[in-house]
Amino acid sequence: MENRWFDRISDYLDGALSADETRVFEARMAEDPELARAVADVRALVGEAATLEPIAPRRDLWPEIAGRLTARTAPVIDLREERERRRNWTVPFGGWRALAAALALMVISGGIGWLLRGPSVPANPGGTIVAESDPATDPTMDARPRGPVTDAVNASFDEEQQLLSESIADLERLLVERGHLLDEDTRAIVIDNLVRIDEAIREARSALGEVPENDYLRAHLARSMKQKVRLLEDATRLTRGDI
Amino acid sequence: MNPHNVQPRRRDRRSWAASVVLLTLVLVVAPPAHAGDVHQTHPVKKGATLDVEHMVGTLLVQGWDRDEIQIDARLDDDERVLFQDQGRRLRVVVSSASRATERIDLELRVPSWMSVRVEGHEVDVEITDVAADVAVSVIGGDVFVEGARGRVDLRSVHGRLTVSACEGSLDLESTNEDIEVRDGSGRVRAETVNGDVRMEGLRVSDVEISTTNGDVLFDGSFEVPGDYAFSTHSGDIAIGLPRDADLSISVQTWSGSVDSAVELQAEELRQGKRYRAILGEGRGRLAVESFGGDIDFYDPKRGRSKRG
Repeated sequence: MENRWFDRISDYLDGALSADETRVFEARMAEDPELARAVADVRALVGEAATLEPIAPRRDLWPEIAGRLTARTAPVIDLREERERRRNWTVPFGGWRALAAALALMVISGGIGWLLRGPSVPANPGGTIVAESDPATDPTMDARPRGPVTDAVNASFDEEQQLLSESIADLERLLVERGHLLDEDTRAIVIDNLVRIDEAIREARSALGEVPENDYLRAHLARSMKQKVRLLEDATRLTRGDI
Repeated sequence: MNPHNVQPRRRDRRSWAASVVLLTLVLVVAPPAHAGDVHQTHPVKKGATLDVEHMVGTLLVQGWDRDEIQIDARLDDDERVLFQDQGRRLRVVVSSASRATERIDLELRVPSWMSVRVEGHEVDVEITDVAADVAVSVIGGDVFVEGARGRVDLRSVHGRLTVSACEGSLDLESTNEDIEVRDGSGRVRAETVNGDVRMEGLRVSDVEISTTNGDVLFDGSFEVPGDYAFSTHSGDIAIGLPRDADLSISVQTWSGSVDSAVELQAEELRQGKRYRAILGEGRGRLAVESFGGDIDFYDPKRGRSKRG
C-alpha cells in the first residue's frame, strides 16, 4: 500500500530508526512529496506543542483521576456467572449508546492507527531476514528513544483502552440481558468464542505487564479487544432479530 | 338372474381393478403434490438490486444472461414466497406461518449484472455467476460464492465461507468456522475467532487476515505495490514466500517460533522476537504477527515444511 512509509513518521521524528532505516526513509521522502509533506506537518505540530508552556494544575488531581479510572475500569465479565448472578438486572446503559461508543472508538482508533503500527524494515537486499534489534541495546524490544510523539502514543493507548473496556462492559451487559433470545447453539458458540477472546486478552495483558510499552503487545491487545467488541455487537444484533 | 347383467358386472370389476392399479402407479411414480409450489418469472429493469430473506433451508442463486428473475421453490400449505418489485429494488421473502425449523429450498435465476443481498438464519447459500456485488449475512449456514465482481461481504456466525474466482473487495467474517478463498483478485479482509483461514491461488494487492485461535495459510502472489497483514493470537501462520518477491517484511511473535525457507537468522530477544527484512526493492509490505502461534515462511515451489 502506498502509505506504508507513513507508519514510520513518528519513529523517524523520534530518532528511533536505525541508520539504515533512516537512509531508506529519507530516500523515500525524496521520491514522495506527500510523505515529505506529512513529515513536515507532524514536525511542525510537534514543534508547536513543544513551545506550549506546561499548565500547572491548581491542585494535585491525580488521586481523584486515579479513583475515577479505578471506578470506571470494567473487568471482563464471565457471561455464565454473570447470567446467574444478575437474573433481575436491568440495563442501565442504552444499547444504541454502546454501539455509538463503539463506532466512535473505531474512528478514533483509525485516526491513531498509524501511530500504533509496528516496526518497519531495514535494507537487506540479499533477502535474509534478520532479527531487528540487538539484545545488548534493546533487551526488551522497547528501548526506543522517548519523544513527544511517543508520549502522545502512550496517552492515546490509555484512552483507547478505557474506551474499549467501557464498550465491552456495556455490550456484555446487553448480551446478558438479551442472550436468552439467541437459539441454544448460537448462544453456546458466542459464549465459547468470547471465552477464547478473553483468554487472548488476558495473555496479552499479562505480557504487557512484563513489557508495558511494547508496541506489538499494545496493538495486539487492542486488536483482540476490538474483535470482542465486534462479536458482542453481532451477538446483540442477533438478539434484536436484525439479521 | 338376468343374464344381460353378467357382462356389465365383469366389466365393472375389471374396470375397478384397472383403476386401482393405475392409482397405485400414480401414487408410486408421481411425486407428492405440494399445495404451494412456486415457479415464477418476472422481468426486471437494468440496475435493479435483489434482497432475499430466508429463514431455514437452502438458497441457490445463479446468474444468467436474461433480464428476468426466475423463482422456484417447493412449499407446503403454510409456506410462502413473496416477490416484491419496488422498481430499483426487488425483494424475495420466504416465510412460514409456523416459523418452525421446516427447511425450504429456494432457487433463483437472476441477471448476472444484478447485485444480490441475502439475510437468513440457518441457510446454506450458494451464489454463482453473479458478476456484481454480493452480500450474505446468516447465522448458521455455509456460504459459497463464485465469480462475483465488486464488493463481496459475507458473514456467518457458525458457517463456513468459501469464495472462488471473485474479483474486487472481499470482506469475510466467520466466528467459529473456516474461511477459504481461492483464485481471485483485488483485496481481501478476513476475520475469524476460532476458524482457519486458507487462501490459495490469489492475485490480491491488499490482504488483512486476523484470527484468534485459527491457523492461516497464504499461498498466492505478492503484487507490487501490495500490503499484506496477517495476525493471530495462538494460531499458526504459513506463508508461501517466493524468492523473487518485492517486499518489506516485518515479523512479530511473543512466544511462537519462526521458521523460514528464506535464509533466516533468528535471534531471540529476552522477551519475544521481532524480525525485519527487505526482499527485492521492498516495494510491498508484509506484516506477520502471532502472539503464541508458529510462523512458517515456505518456498512455494517446494511446499510447506510444516503441514497443519
